[in-house]
Amino acid sequence: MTTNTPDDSSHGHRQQVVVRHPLAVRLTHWIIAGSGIALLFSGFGELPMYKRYNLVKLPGMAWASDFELNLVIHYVASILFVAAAMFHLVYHWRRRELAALPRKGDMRESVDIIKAMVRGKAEPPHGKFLAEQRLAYAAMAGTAALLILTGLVKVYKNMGDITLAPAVLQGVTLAHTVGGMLFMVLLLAHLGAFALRANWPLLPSMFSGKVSRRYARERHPLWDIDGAGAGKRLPAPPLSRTKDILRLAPGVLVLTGATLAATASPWWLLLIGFVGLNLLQSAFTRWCLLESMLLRAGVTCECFDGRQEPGTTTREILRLAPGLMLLASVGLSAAISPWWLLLTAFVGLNLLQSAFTRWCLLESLLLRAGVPDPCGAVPDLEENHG
Amino acid sequence: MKFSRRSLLAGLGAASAAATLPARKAQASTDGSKYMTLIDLSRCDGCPHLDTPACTQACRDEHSDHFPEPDPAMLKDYWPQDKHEDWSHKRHVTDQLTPYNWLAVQDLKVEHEGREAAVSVPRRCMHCDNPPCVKLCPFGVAKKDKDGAVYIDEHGCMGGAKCRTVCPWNIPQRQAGVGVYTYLDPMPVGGGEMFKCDGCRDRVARGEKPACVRACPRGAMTFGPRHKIIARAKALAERIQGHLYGLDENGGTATVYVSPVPFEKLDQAIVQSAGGDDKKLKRLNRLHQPGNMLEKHNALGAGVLAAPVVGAAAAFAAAVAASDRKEKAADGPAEPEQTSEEE
Repeated sequence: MTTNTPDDSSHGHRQQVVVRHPLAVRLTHWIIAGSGIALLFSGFGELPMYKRYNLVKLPGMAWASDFELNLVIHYVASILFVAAAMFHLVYHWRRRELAALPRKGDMRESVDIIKAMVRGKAEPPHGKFLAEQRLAYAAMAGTAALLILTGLVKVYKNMGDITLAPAVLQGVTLAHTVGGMLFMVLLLAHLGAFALRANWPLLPSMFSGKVSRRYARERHPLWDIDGAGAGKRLPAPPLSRTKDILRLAPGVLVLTGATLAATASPWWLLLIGFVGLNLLQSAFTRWCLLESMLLRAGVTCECFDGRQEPGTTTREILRLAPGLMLLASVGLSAAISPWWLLLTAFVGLNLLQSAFTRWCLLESLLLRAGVPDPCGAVPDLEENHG
Repeated sequence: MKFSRRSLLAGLGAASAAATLPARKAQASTDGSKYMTLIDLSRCDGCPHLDTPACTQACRDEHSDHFPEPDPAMLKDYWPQDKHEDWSHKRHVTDQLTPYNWLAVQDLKVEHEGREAAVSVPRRCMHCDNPPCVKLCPFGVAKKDKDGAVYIDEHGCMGGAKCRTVCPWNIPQRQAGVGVYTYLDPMPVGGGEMFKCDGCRDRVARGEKPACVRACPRGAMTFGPRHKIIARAKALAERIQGHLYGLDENGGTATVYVSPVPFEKLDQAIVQSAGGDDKKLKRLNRLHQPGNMLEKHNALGAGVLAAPVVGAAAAFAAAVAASDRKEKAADGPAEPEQTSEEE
């Protein structure tokens, strides 16, 4: 193996290695890999097959046909898998690191790449990821998403006297079972990639995180290694710590209120109403108690230097819209049907997700429509790895 | 405000529900839309005057349309095992549960209050509130209606018999030679179809009582709305100084037995009938006190539902920390090793 080890940097050859997989990526990968394998084993164990096909007769494997034990393994591994997958999603979406997503023409390009690899000829020039890697990522992420969503439903319905409509349960169950088989195939294909010599340098780098600069240059000529004009696909919204918290707080309050209103007492609608009213008032007055406190406590907001944009900015509209929706959901829940709490939950979840990912559909639309951001123009933040 | 908080919570999304999900252990709930059956063992005498107890016979007549007609060519061993389960030549068996006999009466002799008592126990699916067979079927063909009936869909069952393994009472029974696996032959998968009491859901949908309830000459079975049946069972137990079974077992079921003899004694009689043969005992329908194997692990389940929130929060913290480091690096002196540093 010709890959440089991290030792090289201490010998003054630091330019010879580049970070291919940052620590967060490696941790996520190995947690997903380990828990994923445990999930596959215990998941197949939930099909009645280990006894039938005599796996239980192998030494030390007598436990393998125990459905309850496999359920426990499946639950524990799911906790790791789901948390890591969610980490991956939020972390990279927030940092706008989208280089692994498929692009137009990837299908044709991956055929060319595989042809070139098999024939031992020169591959087309790659960016950080190969076209086929982007496709494989989409397939695996999509399958994992299906497994997680159906899996959460399956866990929830296990927890008590919870009867889903039989057709729904069957659909969810079959999707999960078939999804698991698909995931197995994709995992084998993923491991199969290492049959190709060209991929070997990536094996140690999944531990060390680094590949040699020469390998990166030769195989990934289109990868902007040092991030000087890193290709971005979405503009990153301005950095503002207060903005995150000012979405997180109402999001959490609203979801708590909706859950308690649905389960404990409709009086909890008042909490949702309070949040809605406060959003509304701060849209009009541009004053928010939590915001003032955060700024006083030294939480950063790049744009805050005492000056206020004179006209209407995204900030006002982004408080007005959820405020109105929350008040509407409170009114409709109280007057018409508690199912309107789903609207409350939607607003709450969206506030929460935008706090985590810094992405909000309405905000993107407003910016695109030319509504100014309160912090001025969208700065070009160098946050991604191409 | 009248609405199902359960269905609403499901709609709110598992992640948000996880944090505040109230602990709802399944216990025979008093939901009025659900049915329940009371089986009064002080009345049941096992129909000694008949060859086949009336309830068993009524059940067989009611469901004969649904009994399996196996393909003889498929009555072969489940490779690589050297066995298969075929009851098609033993359709006449009435004293145990089979694919052709969904209700069997156990005749038990126990010592109670100094004298020998004969107790007959009609056995069939208990229709659990949180049935492991339904929740763990990998193909979703073991199903449960909102009104409480647990049944196995004829279409799509592979006959892996997992439902029988996870059933505390060993209720579903397998017949080889029928079902989707016959289309997959000669692939060595599947083993037939599973059969069991379906709570006479067709009859109940028509507003009638289950066949066994209607057939009992001694009126030992009562079918009705859940809260009424529970109240009736408790009153009866009090009146005859009897014992209840089915309200808490396996987390609660839609069947409640009332017996003048403690169920521990009845279960002992069943255990003794196996004569110390563990394999035989496993095939019998016990009257023990099983807990619900799914609800036992609810804490882990809640952990799974909370995992998305934990992952998102960790990502948030990590991304913020990374951008803080970046800012600091940008403010401070140039970092010589920046290219090989992690963000």
